[in-house]
Amino acid sequence: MATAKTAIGIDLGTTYSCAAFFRNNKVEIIVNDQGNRITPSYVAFNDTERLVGDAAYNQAPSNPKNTIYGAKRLIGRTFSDKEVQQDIPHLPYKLVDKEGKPLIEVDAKGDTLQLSAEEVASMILIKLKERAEEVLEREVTDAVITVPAYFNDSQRQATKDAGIIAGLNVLRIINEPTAAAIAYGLNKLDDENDNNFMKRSTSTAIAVKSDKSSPTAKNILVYDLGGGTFDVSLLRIDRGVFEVKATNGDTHLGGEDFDNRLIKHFSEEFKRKHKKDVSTNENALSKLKRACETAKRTLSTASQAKIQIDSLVDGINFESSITKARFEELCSDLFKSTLEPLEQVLEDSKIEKFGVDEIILVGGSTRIPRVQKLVTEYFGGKIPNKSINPDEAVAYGAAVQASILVEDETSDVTADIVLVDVNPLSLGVKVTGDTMYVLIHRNSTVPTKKTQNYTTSDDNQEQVSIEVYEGERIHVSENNLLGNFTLTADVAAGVRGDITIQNESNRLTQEQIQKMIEDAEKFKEEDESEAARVKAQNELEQVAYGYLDTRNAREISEGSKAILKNACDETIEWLENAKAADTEEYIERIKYLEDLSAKLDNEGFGTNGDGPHVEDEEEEEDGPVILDE
Amino acid sequence: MVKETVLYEILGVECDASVDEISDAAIDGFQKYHPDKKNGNLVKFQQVQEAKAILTNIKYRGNYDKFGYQGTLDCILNFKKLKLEEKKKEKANGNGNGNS
Repeated sequence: MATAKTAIGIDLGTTYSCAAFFRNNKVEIIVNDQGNRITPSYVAFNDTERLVGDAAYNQAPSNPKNTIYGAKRLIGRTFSDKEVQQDIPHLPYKLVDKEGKPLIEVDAKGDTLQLSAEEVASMILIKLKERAEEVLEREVTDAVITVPAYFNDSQRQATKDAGIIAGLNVLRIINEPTAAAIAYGLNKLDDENDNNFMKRSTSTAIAVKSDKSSPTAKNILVYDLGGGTFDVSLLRIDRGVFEVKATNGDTHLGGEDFDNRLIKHFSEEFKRKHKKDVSTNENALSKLKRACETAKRTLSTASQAKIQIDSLVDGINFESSITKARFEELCSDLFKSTLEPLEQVLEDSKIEKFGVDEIILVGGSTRIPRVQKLVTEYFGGKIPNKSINPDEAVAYGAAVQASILVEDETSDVTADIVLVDVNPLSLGVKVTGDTMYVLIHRNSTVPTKKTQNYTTSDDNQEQVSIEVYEGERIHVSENNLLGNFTLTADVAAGVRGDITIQNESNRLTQEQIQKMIEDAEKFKEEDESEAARVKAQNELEQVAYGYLDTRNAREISEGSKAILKNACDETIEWLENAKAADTEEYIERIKYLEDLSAKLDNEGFGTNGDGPHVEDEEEEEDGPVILDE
Repeated sequence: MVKETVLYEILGVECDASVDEISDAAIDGFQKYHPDKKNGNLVKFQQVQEAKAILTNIKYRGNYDKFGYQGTLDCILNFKKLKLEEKKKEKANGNGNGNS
């Protein structure tokens, strides 16, 4: 199996992303270069380099204008979208309207750069892909990427485009709650065989096909509240078939919104106390955001959280605290708003509350005790299942799906898994007036096909224009236009033809994608050259300090030692002054020191303490010109 | 006496099969024909899906047994039209009452 391709599963989250792969009958989460199992979905730029992941997250408070996060809340949306407009006051980075698309404007290495959400997402994907390649020690191109189940077509296409820009072959876009259900299902099936492969390293075949009368069939409800999106899906798992019954959600609700409520609360408090406005000061806002995130997390386990920020505005230190009860009150309407999609899912799937066998909580925000309580209360006290990791379950399921899609010989474990998912939004065509005529209802099992006869509205009409929409409103103008096509008389007369509807509105063109792929390549080269530069700088430092430290223990004359010390001191001083020299210069200097050291070793015994003067020795060297400061 | 048996045949069940038996047969069909499977078959997968959708819904199954496949589709279509009209009326009334 060593030569088989490995496809990875990627959970591209609003605030954190996670990648995993399936190998030897088990899923492994890819640990990043910082040792973390999840990577912040952050990208940042400074004067010298681009940072992605933990490095970008860590420097965010000191570089708010050029630190991008939450690109998932922008992806596939237009600048004028209500949700985008709503976010703008909270964003420390600048958003510009470019032909209807929201672009993020940052200063990067002295230039102004405008990036689409797809490009930002692609940078995170590249980071995960490269790490996967390091861990797997082979090239990785195939991937399954997850999206919120309630993402519309534009958002899905844009996510796929991000994958293409990242150089990935996107095998499939799957729904996050469905992926989480796979993680739960596999884990569960395994438990029943007393062999939990989510935790153990070895695994045997799992009897997915148990017995015929399906006493193992289960209705499970996935409640997925993440950093920026909310999904609910109801699935029936029966002998390896994961059949989604219904799905609903809010693609703009999550931890970020809870943070914003806290930020607003503390900004108002600060204004009251100190008469200073935080909301117009990006640096202050960014510091406050980080503190609020931390406080929110603290409140999942403690009843009170302290906030302490040095020099928030004009040197004023800010100290405050918030209780769990107050936080819950601030977000109460947001928490409660998750019940509406929940209700709708039960209604659409025609399953009663008591017919739900298991409730699965996914996404970091489900750690909030009030959220857990809300769900528990809604289901009459039924305690949600806690067997899966809320941060990793989605990537886990995506990795399983990826392996099913690439492996020639699927493993015993996954051989019987079949995903039967649904379309989240109704699809229909525009008929007379502004009316949406639904052809494929939401929550229809996909793939699906529907046929419908229409009559032309005028006699002898030669052609008819068909507009395809997505959404739940009766007026098409309130739904999302996917595309249109024209049927001409000969087609209408019975000649059949396949028509592919391309959703062009708001999507990147082939040329734009091509350009972004080239840019990604350029960014990669720049990243690599910066990495090489830093490496050379570190090496030079090591060599200089190394020779300096060890010179006295060497069997060379005192004069030689002095020469070496002088050269090392000079190098160290140069290193301190020259902050960002070229890689070549560092390498030349390393070579110079090494040559000098080797030369002194060879000549050392002969000179016997009466070495030439330091200055002379330096004149004699034909190393690079050093003393030019 | 049922009008036709095609949907039952697709699932390989008797015409008096219980809902559980029909669901079980559909699961087998999904396993066998899912397009991700090596020998998957999209057309058959869709047939299983449709047969299941109709036969596991008491109302639709009643229509199918009485009027056959086309009859069921017509019933669903008429129902949909009715609902759409209702929705439009509701919306019109709603707009009439409120100030838009």
